[in-house]
Amino acid sequence: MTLNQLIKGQIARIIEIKGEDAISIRLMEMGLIDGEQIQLLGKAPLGDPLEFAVRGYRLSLRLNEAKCVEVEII
Amino acid sequence: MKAALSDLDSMTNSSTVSSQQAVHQQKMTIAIIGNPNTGKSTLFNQLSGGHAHIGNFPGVTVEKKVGSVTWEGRKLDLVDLPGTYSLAPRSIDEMLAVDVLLGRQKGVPRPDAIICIADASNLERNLYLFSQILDLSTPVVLVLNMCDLARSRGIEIDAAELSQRLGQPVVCTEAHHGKGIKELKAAILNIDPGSRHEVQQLFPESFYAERSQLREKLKSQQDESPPDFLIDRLLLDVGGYVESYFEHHTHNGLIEHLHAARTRLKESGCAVPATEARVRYGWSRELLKGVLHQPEVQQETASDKIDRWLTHPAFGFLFFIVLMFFVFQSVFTWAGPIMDQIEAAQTAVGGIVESFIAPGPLRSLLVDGVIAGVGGVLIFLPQIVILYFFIAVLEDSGYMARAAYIMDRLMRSLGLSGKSFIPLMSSYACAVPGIMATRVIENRHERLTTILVAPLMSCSARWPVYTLFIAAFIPNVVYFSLGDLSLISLQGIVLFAMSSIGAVIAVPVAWFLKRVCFKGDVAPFVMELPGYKWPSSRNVIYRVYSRGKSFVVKAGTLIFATSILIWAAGYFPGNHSEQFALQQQIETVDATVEKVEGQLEVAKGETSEQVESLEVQLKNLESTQSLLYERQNLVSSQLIENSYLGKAGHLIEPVVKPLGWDWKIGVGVIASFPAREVIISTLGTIYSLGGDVGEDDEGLIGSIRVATWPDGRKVFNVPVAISIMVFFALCAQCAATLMVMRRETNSWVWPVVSFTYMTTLAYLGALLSYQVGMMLI
Repeated sequence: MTLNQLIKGQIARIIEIKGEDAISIRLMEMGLIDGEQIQLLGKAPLGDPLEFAVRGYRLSLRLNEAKCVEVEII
Repeated sequence: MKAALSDLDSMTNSSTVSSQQAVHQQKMTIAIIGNPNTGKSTLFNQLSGGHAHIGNFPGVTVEKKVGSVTWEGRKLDLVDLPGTYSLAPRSIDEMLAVDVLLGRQKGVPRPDAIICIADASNLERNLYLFSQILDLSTPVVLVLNMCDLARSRGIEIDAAELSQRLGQPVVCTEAHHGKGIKELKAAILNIDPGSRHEVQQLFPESFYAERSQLREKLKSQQDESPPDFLIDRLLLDVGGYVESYFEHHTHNGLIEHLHAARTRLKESGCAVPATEARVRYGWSRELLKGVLHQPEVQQETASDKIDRWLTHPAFGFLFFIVLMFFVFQSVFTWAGPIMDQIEAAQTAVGGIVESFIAPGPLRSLLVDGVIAGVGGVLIFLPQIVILYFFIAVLEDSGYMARAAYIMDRLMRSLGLSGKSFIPLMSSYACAVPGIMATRVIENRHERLTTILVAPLMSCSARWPVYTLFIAAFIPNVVYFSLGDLSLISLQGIVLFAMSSIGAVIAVPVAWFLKRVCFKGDVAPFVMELPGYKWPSSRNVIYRVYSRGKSFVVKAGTLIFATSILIWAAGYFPGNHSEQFALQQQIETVDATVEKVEGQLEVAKGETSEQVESLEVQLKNLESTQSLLYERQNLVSSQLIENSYLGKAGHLIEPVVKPLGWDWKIGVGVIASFPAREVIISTLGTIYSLGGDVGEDDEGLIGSIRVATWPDGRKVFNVPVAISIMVFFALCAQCAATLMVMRRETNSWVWPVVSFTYMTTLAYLGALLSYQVGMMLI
């Protein structure tokens, strides 16, 4: 599954970031690396973007950016 | 620097020793870099003492902020670089930081040391950038800022051990409270300028082998091989700026070689770009083992608790709307009285000048050119200051990122992102602070799009134009009312339509710019939501002050110059002697009237004879007065008709005729180039009322209602009024906006583009409204 499919409060482990484009590079720079844990904290008023907790900080991603991240629920 | 020194040596052979001593006394250049939201600007202000020279780097839209300081007799230049998560440049703007750090940026010597500021409560991620900076081999001081916040979250960092492991100084600070600044200064002064450290090889062997091959390849093509750091970037950044640079500046299969190298790396299990993040984050985690202690289970922070409400799907949105309404309202209402005072002061200063200088070209230049020009600049200042105050508070507290988060989905339907919302909303008050507020948008194309559509938002300067023409030509039909209070009226609907038309047009314009002009640029919305904190008053004051100052100094001088030019065009080449004589006479008569009125007041208690004679005298004077005014207005209107401005108006009459305008309106439009509201006073002058009229002036409303073409037809009717309003809703008649645009984009291209497209839209809009309107009536 991908990161955009998480339910609020769910914690997942990152498997891989797909693609080599600007978005996936930025995601990796922000610390989204395979093996890392990530939690969905909430959604913006129209359901997009999403707020995550990763590496002890809060990160907001759009749905289509979250789609680049393959995860598994722990 | 070395080359310069050897030149110096060869010129003064005998003084080699003394010139080398001078090296140590030379200015040190210190670059300051860090992740966004780490308190970098607060730290910069603390270090520079609030005195920074603000400018622009050539060719990019990046602000150049340099603070020159002297610490313990040592001169230093502190160069503030934009906040960034990584040194992997994707655009020319991001390349700037790399160029500065490598000493490749003209006008900035290679830094002797780098200050890397990191958020102590989020160290692991902040060390990613730091690890890239270590690759530059320049001495670097790691600043762990917001140590208090980290402690409050139960995070403890052994700074001494960290420094030991890194081989670089590490300083803990709380920049908000000025704590740790002294230690940081000492650490910087302790650095030996020009020293270089060995770069730790974090990547696998195969990577460095490819780098050497690539260097050889580059050497065969260029006289000088680029620094290792750039070769690394070339290899690592797929589709990055360095790659596209070399693609355009080299040949002989370099790019093919690069692709092959990347394939080989992938096969050896070191696939770019993923390798870099894996390697650097692995390094930072390893480095922090035993240095950083944090609680196993992260408890919910105060910031998280606030966020549960402020980013709540329903309540968060409501709070945002209320907050924005409050900001917007404040910009309008708080600025109003101050703006009135500036206007009053302008009139008062004009009055003082008039009382000292007899009517003549000098007085006209001073009062109508200089004072009106300065006033025209200062009038924007209250709105800029108030808006910037709010922006600084919102940004410093961490709310700005939430605002972007909440508005992103809506703004994306316009082809923009959440970060564009506040600049565009601010532009409803005034495009000048709105454009200045686009600095929060890091993506260059998104920022340019926002800057280009910002002047379409209906700013407060358009209201006088709307008010005048609506009052004069739109019938006051009320459709729905509550007692005396009319809630829905035709006038209200027209006013609403006029103030929304720009925003509506902005949608396709933004779409066109994003899809056609700035195609292929995906702006990721990967954004950190920083923890909330109290805004520092020092930071807020400093930012409001520096924005206000840079507006007055930079944009102000140009707006001022434009006002003088328009004044000159309206003044020359006419013979103003009669006008001046009339002015003199009017002033004498005015003074006499005042005197007689005073006498009359005194005489009222005395004999009735005296009162009578005084009243007769007053009556005579008043009729002379009105005759003189009439004559003066006639003379003034003839003068403006024969001025260069008037000639230009006649010249463009064929162009504006399809819009239903006569030459007078044409002149008004040209003369309103410095600011839209100038059209009111210009129309006042042309319709021989003298220059001093307001939008509610009954005289002006009356005279435009009866104005006729030479053949006796009325000039103004509803379609003409609508056509003028639509024109002003869409045009770029605002020198201040164009000047700020030029300042913010560091180029004349964008103001010219903006002026051209907006004037075209305005013309077409006005043409359409007039022609369709005429068909309907």
